[in-house]
Amino acid sequence: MISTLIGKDLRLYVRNRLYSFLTVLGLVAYIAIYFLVPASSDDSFGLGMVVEAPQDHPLVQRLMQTIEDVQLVDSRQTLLSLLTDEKLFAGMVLTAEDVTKIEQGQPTKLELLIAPGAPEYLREAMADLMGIAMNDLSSASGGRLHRIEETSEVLGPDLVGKPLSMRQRMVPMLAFFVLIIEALGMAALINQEVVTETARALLVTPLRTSQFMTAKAFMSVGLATIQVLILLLITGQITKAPLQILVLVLLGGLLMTGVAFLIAAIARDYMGVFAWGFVFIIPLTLPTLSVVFPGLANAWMEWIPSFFLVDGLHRAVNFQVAWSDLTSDLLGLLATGLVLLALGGGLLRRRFQ
Amino acid sequence: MSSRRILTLLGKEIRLGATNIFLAYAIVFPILFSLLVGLVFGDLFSGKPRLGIYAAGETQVIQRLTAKESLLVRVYMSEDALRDDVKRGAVELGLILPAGFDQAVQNGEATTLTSLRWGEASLRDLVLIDTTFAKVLVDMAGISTPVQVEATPLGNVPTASWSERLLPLLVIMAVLLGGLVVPSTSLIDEKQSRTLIAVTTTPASLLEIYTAKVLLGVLIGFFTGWATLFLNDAFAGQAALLLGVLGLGALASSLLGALLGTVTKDMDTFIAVVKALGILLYAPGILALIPQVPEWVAKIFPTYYMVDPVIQISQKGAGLSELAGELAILLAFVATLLLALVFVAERQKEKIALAG
Repeated sequence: MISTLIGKDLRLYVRNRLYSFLTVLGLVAYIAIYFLVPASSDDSFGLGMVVEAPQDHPLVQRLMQTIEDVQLVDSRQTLLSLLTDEKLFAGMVLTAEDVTKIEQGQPTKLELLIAPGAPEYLREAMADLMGIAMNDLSSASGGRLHRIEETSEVLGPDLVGKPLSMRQRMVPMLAFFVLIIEALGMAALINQEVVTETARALLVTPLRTSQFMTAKAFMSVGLATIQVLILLLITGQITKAPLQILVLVLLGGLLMTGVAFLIAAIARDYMGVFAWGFVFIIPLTLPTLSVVFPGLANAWMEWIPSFFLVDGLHRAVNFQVAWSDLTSDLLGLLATGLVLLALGGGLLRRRFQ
Repeated sequence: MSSRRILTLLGKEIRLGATNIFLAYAIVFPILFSLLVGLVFGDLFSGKPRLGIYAAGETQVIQRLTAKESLLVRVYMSEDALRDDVKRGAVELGLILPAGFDQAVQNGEATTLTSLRWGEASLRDLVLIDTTFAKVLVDMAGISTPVQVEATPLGNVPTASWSERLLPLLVIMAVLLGGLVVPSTSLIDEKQSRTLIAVTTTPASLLEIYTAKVLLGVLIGFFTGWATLFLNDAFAGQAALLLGVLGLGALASSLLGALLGTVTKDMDTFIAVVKALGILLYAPGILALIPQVPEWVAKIFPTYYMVDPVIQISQKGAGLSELAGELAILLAFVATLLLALVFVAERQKEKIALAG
């Protein structure tokens, strides 16, 4: 019975060429976005320096060791053109006289040139950076600060020097959007069956309500999972942790099916599906944004069911963690998926009666 | 075509639309979203390094650090809360200062400091936080700094803040939601309930019905676009030009909406269309959030020409001559949509005639 119903839905889906074409087009758009976003993350200061003193001067040598990420430029003119073209954020000209003064601990005023398009906050930050570095060279001015004993602890995978690109951060978000949009489509389809009474007509046959809903759940999870897997396959992500990703996406599909059932049960008609859809989409999207922009992350966001999906995908795709590290995400996804499925299924059942 | 009949039909659309959830949605959603972005997200998208700090005792460090423009500083009331936020990346570096820290620094006495680093933090941000913190300590301890570094900006090119980068997306959402959704859903609704045939049996022509629906879309798109600019404190520049461009954008989205409403046979297909096209329509706004993406990528999408002139006028004070190229493309887009709509409306007319 269930397979017959799934077969019927699939045939209808494939026969609707526009619907099928648009689904493919949507997927292509997500894949295109992935490839359009930069694959690397720029972690450099964009700092240039013209040193008019001998390069082997001990102070110059120390300066290069203190600020490793500095680009040496041959002339003031070149520095100015690099800054104007925004190939550098900031630059400084260090004359032989400046070097002597710094060495002797004499008062020295240095000018830090800032590129026209550099963000405002960087102006102050770069001036502080250069100020601290230069004064550190000048004397043991920071000597008193050296009496502060610092204990450092790294929380989470240590990626210093090899940061995640924006593209990699976006992977869980893209997968989430494929799933949620498919859930919205499924909610509309189920709602249509409820509104046009075809569901009721089907249920006067030997088909039971539970079978009807199981068929819809399989169809929804299947369609969503296949699309996400295609996305992850083409973007080369699936090979990173195939089994973990598959389980997470399947559970994500289950969660989204629960959401689809709930929307289909609550909404009075198509318009309601659309409107209620957004009521669900907005909070569910917040945890995905917090992966892309971690500054948004907040404790309360971890209570939103989609957090388990995007957090799990983020860890599996970007850090290749062990199964034990994914336990809380997998359990959270399973539990919230089942609760939403039961809730949505229960409400749908009431609408059928 | 009678303007009186169009106005009557427009009045009917507005009356019926008042109870349509889509209409309320198209107006309320962009406005709510604007407020949400401003209130909730604030400057979290600023790109500034994020520092968290917990002090076991009184300290001037917090006040001095929060006064710095170069950092986003969060103050914590417990070590555990700071640790949790570092773990999730809400702050990139967490500093735990012991009681009596200030006194120790000022007197040059030995003291301790615990720093918690988020593993995914950018090296650049960490160095900037470190040096800013060091600068605060140097100032606080009164250590002499013979070398003074002064920042001199070369030119005065305004840089885009995150709220400015979000503006294109907000404007696209506002103009598209208002302009596109209302005419399309209204047409589909009429087709499904067969009221379109009923109306054409009155003296009103199909062209007049379409005009009324497109006009409603234009009005809503225009209003939501203006409200979004107003709420984001971005209604600036040449007002007449800005309103004109906003109106043209609303017309383009309303025509697109009417076109989609005509070619899609039911709401299912419409949702599928929105599903697939949504990301393409919003693409210029999404791409504007990512400064690393070259501008030419956004120019591929037609909606770029709806929103960029608005941003150029309101943010950069651009005039008509500077926008001539983009406006020509937008006008060509409007003309293409208009021709396509007339074509499909004619076919619709034939269908209705056959059905009649």
